[in-house]
Amino acid sequence: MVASPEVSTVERELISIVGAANVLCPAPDEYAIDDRRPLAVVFPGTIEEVAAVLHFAQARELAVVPMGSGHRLSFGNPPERVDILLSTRRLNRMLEYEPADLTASVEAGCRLEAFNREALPHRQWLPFDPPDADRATLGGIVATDDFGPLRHGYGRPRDYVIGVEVVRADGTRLRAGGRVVKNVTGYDLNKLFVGSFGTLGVLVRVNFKLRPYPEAEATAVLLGPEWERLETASQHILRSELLPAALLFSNAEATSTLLPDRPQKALLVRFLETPPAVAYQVDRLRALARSLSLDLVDFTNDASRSLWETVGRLRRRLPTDLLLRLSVLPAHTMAALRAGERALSPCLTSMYVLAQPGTGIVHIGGRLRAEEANGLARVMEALAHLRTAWESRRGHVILEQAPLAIKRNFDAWGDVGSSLPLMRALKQIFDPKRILSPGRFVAGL
Amino acid sequence: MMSWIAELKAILGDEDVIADPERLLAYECDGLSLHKHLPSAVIFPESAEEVARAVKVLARHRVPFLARGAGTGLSGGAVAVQGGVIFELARMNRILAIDYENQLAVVEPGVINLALTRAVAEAGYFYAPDPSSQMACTLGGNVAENAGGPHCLKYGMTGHHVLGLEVVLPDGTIVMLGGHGADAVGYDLLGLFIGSEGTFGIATKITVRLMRQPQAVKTLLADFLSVEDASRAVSAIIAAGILPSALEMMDRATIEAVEASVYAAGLPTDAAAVLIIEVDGLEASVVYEVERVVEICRAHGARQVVVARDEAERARLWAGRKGAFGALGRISPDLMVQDAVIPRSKLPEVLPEIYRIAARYGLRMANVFHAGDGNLHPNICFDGRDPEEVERVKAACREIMELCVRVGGALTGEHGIGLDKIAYMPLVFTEDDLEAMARVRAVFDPEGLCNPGKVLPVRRCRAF
Amino acid sequence: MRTALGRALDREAEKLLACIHCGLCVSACPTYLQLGDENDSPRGRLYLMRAAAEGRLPMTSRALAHHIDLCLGCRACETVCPSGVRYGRLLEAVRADLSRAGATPGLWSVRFLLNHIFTSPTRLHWFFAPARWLRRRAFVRRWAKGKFLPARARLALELLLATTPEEMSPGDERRIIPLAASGRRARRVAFFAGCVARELFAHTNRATMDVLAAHDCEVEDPPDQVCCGALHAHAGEIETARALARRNIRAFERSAAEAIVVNVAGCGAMLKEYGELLADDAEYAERARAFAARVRDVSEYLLEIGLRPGPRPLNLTVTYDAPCHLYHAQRVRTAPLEMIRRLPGLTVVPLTEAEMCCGSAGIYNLRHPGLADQLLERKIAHLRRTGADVLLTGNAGCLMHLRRGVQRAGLSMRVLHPIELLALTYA
Repeated sequence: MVASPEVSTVERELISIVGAANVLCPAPDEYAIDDRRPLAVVFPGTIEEVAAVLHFAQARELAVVPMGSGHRLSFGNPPERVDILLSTRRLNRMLEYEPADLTASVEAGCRLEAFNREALPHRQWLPFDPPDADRATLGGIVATDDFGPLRHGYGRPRDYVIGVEVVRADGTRLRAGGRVVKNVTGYDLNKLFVGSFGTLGVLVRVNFKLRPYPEAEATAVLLGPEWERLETASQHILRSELLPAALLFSNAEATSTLLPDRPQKALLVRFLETPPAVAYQVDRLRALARSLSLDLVDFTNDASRSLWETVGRLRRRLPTDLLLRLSVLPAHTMAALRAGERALSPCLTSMYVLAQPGTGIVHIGGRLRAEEANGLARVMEALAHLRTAWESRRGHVILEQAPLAIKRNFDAWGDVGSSLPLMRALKQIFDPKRILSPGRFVAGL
Repeated sequence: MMSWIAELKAILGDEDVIADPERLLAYECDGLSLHKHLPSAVIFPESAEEVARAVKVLARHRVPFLARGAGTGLSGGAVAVQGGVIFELARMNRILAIDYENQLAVVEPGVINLALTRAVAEAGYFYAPDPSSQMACTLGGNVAENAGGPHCLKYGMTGHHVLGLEVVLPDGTIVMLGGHGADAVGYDLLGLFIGSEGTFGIATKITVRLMRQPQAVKTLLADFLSVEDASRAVSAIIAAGILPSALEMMDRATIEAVEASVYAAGLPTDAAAVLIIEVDGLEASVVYEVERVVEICRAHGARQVVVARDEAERARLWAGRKGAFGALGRISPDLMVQDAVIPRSKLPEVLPEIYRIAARYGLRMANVFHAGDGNLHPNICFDGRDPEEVERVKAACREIMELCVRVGGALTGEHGIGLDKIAYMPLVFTEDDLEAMARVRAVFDPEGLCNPGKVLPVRRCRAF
Repeated sequence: MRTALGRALDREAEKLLACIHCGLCVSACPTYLQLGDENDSPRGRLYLMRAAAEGRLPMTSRALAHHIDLCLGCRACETVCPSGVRYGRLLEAVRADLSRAGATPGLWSVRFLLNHIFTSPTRLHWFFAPARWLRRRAFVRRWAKGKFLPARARLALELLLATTPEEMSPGDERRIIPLAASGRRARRVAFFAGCVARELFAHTNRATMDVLAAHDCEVEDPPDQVCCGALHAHAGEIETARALARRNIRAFERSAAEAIVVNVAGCGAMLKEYGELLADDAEYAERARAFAARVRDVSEYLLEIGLRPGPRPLNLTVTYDAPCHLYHAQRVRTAPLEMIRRLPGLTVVPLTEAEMCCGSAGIYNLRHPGLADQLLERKIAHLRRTGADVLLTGNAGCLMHLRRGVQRAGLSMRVLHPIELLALTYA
C-alpha cells in the first residue's frame, strides 16, 4: 500500500498524543481488516489519550476502528475506510472490584481471562465464554455482545453491563448507567453501545455485575448416530426441571475435535451448580440416555472446563474460511441446523456445526471447497437461500467470518426491519461524520 | 378545520374520548399523588391502529400525549404535566399468544402483570418480574419503567424478560423493536426503549419470556434485633456466593404497619428488622443453600430463622411484603416512597445514616426494600396538609439522594425518574451526559410531544 | 348541616386519607376491569368522593353521580386494600348524600318499593304473591323469551324464573330433613329469614332451619323481623335502612338465642354492620353493636359448632362462587368451602375469579343490565371450564342471577345454596 501524503502528519500527531512507542505507522500487515490496512495503529494508555486521538481523527475526518484483542475484527461488513486502528491493549486495568457488591469496573482492554482469574478466588466470575475467550477483552466482548454456549443458562454480556464510559467521535466522554446492579436513572444508554461494533463510540470503561461461581460442575455428552434422538433428549431437558448452564448440539466433525475417539453427533450438557444439584442432574441425564439408547460420557470439574475451552477454540482448531450464525426461534433450532447443513455441505469441507436449542443459535463453519474458491456462485446461492428462508421466519443469517469476495456481495447482517430509520438517526447523532468503523455494521452504518 | 377532540372522537367514538373536566379529575395523578396535573382529555384506544391514528392527529395538532396503564407508578410518570391527552390502555388487555415451545407470550400493554403469571401457572411457567404492585400494574407500564420487584435479584428486571415490542412512535408510525423470540440485528433499540418512561413512544404489543417454575422454592423469615445486623447478614449471604431469588428487608415500623393491615403475615412486631429470603431452583440446591443461609443469619445475630412450611405460609409472607407500602398508609395521611440504590456492601453504613437524616428532620420513617440488590425504599410518613412538614420531607429526600449518590449509588432502581426526581439528575450525570440523553430522546420524539416534562431536567439540545 | 359523607369522613378521616393512591385495588374492581376507566375504579371513586368532600366537585356533579352509581358495591377493593380504607361505608355515605341532593339517577319506582313495600312484611308478601303465581305458569317462560315485553320486564321475569328449583311457598311447614332422632336441643338460634328470601327462597330457608335442627339447634323465627335494609343502604336510603335496623334489633332482643343465623350474604353483611349504621344513635348504638356481634353466616356458624353432615354420598362435581358480601364484606372466606369439602361424595373443583362479583349486586342487574351481563358472561365463561354439575353460592341475588346466566348459556349445571346441598346429605 502506498502511503498517502498525509501519513507523516498523522503519525506525528498520534505520536504527540501517545508517544512514539505506542504508534505503529505504517501499520504492519497483520493489522489489516479484510483487505484494508490502516495508516496507523495506536495504543493509548489513558482515557484522555483515547479522547485526544478521536478529537484529532474527527477534525481530520480519519476513520477510526476500535479494537480489543482483534480476533473479531472481520466480524461484520468490510469497513469502508480504516485510517486509525485504536487498540485498547494498554487500557487493561481492573479499576474497582468489591466482592461484597458482586460488581466490578474495568478498562475496556482488560481481558476476560485475567479478570476471572482475579474474581475466582472470591468464588465470583463473569460467565462469558465467547469464541477465543482466552484472548478476548471485555471491551471487545461488550462491543460485539459476543457469547458462547453459556448464553443458555447465563444470558448475554448485555445482561451484565451496568455502566459504560465511552469516548464519542468528537472526543467528549459519555458515562451511562452506574455501578449498582439495579438502576433506572435516566435512559439506559448502555444498551446503545453494547453490541454496536464500535460504530457509536469507543468503549473505554465497563462496569459489570458478576455472578457467584458455582461450587461444582459437570458435563454430560450424549452421543448418537442421528439427530432425532438427540433432539428428543434436548426437548426433554428443556421441558424438565433441569437447569443446564449450556446445551449444545455438535456434529461429528465438531465432536471429533472434542472427543477424538467419538466422532459422532452429540448433545453437550453442562451443569454449573451446587454439588448435590450437579450430581442429581447428571444422574437424571444418565437415565435419559438409557431410555433413549444414547451413549453418555461425562466429565467433571477440570475435565469439564477444559472440554468447553476446546469448544471455544474450535474456530482455531478447525480450518475456517466461513463462519455463519443463524439466529432463529428456539423451537426452530433443529430445523435451522438441518437447513444450514443441507445448504452448505456442498460448499464446505470439514464442516462443523454447533447449535443451542435453548436460544436458537446455530453456528456453521468450515473450509470452502477448492472449486468454490473460484466464482463462489454455489456458496453465494446457498447463503441467499438460507437468508430468504429464515428471515421470513423471524430469523437472521449473520456472517461472523467470510472471505472478502463473499462479504462484498453478501451483507453480513441482513434485514434490520422497520427500526432502521431510528438506527440511522442514532448513528447520525453519535457519529455525524461517520468516522467510527464506517460501513461495518447493519445497513452499512 | 376539525378540533383534535372531534378528530379523536371520529376515530374512537364519542364514548371513548373523555373531555369532561369532572371526569378528568381522577386522571390528575398516578400512584404518587404528590404531583397533580389535569389532562385535557383521556382516550381509550383498543388497538395499535387506533393508537397510531390518534397519535397522528395529536402530532398534527402538536398536542402532547402520554400512555397510562393502571396508574400505579411511583414517580409521577403518568401525569400530564403539560396537559394534553392520556392514552388509557387498560382495555388493551388481551393475551394474544402463549408459546410454550419458545417460552414466550405476546400480550397487549394493558395486561396485568399477575394475570400473565396466572395464565401460564397451570402449565408450569411464570413471568419473572414481580413489582409489588403486580396484582394491579400493567405490563405496558412495566416496560415503560423497566420495573423490578423482589425477584429481580436473581431473575433480572423487565428489560431482561422482554423479547420484542411493537411501538407506535410519536409521529404515529409503527415499528417493531427486538427479535420477538429470536435475536435481532442492529442497535439494541429494544433495550433502549425499555425504561424510557413513555417518552419514546407507546408500546402496543409486548413479547415476553416465560420462565419454567423452579422445582423447589423455600422462603425464610429471619428476625434481627438491629438493622445493622440484618444488613451485615445480607452482605454475608451475597459474599458467600449464594444468589437467593429474593432478599428483602423490612424494619420495625413497616412490620407494625403490615401486621395491622389485611396483609398481616405473622411477623414478629418486636424485631428491629426482618429479612425475607427466598431460595429457588433444584430441590437439591435449595436444601443445601437454605442450610447455609440459616447459618449465615444465625452467625449475624438472627434471633430466629423460620422456613415457611407450605405455600400458604409463603404466600402470606409475600402478601405482607408486597402490601407493605400500602399498609404504611395507616401510619399517617401521606407517604413519600423513596427509591434509591447503593452498592450492597454499603448497607450497614448507609441505612443508619438514613434514619439519622429522618430523625434530624423530625420525620417518621419506615424502610422496606430489596436489600439483596441494595435497592432502598425509605418511606417517609407525613401529613401533606402541613406545608412546613412537606418542606422537611423534601429536604430529607434530597439529603438521602445525595448520600446514596455519594457512596456510588443511583437515584432510582425501579420507580423511574418521572416528574419526581428530575431535579436530582445532575447529581449523577454531567451536562454532556444529559445532553446525549436528550439527543437520543429527540431521535424518537423530535417534536417533544410524547410524555414531555419527564426524565430530563429541561429540553436541551446543542450542536455537537 | 354536615353531609353524610362529611360525617363519615370525620369519623373515618384517617381512613379516607389512608388511601395513599397506590392503586392495588383497581384490578380487583369488576367495573374497572370491564371499563378500564380510572373513574370506575375504587381509587377513582374515592378520588371523586374526596373531591366532593373538599368542595372541588359539587354534590350535583353528574360525573360523581354516574360513577358512584356504576359501583357494584361488591367491596372486593376492601379485601386488597393494604391501607384498610373502609370503602363500603364511604360508598353508603356518598350515596345518601347524592340521594338527598336529588342527584341519584334511578327509578322513582325503585325508591317507592324500597321505602313503602320492603319496609312491611305484609305488603311485601302481597307484592310477591303474583310473582310466586307467575313463576309456576308455563307461559311466563314464553313471555321471558318473546319480544313483546320490554327488555327490563323480560329480565325481571327471567330472574323470577331463576328463583324456583324446588317448589315451596312461604309458610309451608313441610320439613326437608326429618327431625333428628335425638331431638336434643342443645343450642338456641334465631333465624334471620330475609325479605326476598322469605318470599321467593322458602326452600332454602326451610333447608337452613332443618339443617340447624339437625345440629341440635332450637330454631326461632322471631315474628317481628323485617328486611335488613341492605338494599336501602346501598341505594342511599340510609334513614329507611336505620329504621329497619332498629326494628330488627327490637325483634331479636326478645330472643335469648346465642346466635342470629343468616343464609343470605347480603343480609348478613348488613346485619353485621348495624353497629356502624347506628353509631350516631344514642339510644341504639350499643344495642346495635350487641346485635351485630350475634350475627353469623350459616356456614360460619355450623363450622363453629361442629359441622355434622348427613351420611348420604352425593357423587357430584361442584364448584363454589363466593358471594361478595360474604367474602369481601363479611370476610367469611374459608367457612363455606370448608363446609362443602366436608360433604360426603363431592368433588370440589376451583372456579377462576370465584371472588369476583357475578354482576348481581342487589338490584344492580336490574338497574345496569348491560354491565351486569358482561360480568355474568365472564363468570359463565369460567364456569363452563369447570365442568361442574352444581354451582354453589350463598346469596339470594347471586343465585337468581347465576341461574339465569346458566340457563341462558344452556349449561346443564344446577345452581344451589350450599345449605341445600348439605340438606340433601341427610335424606
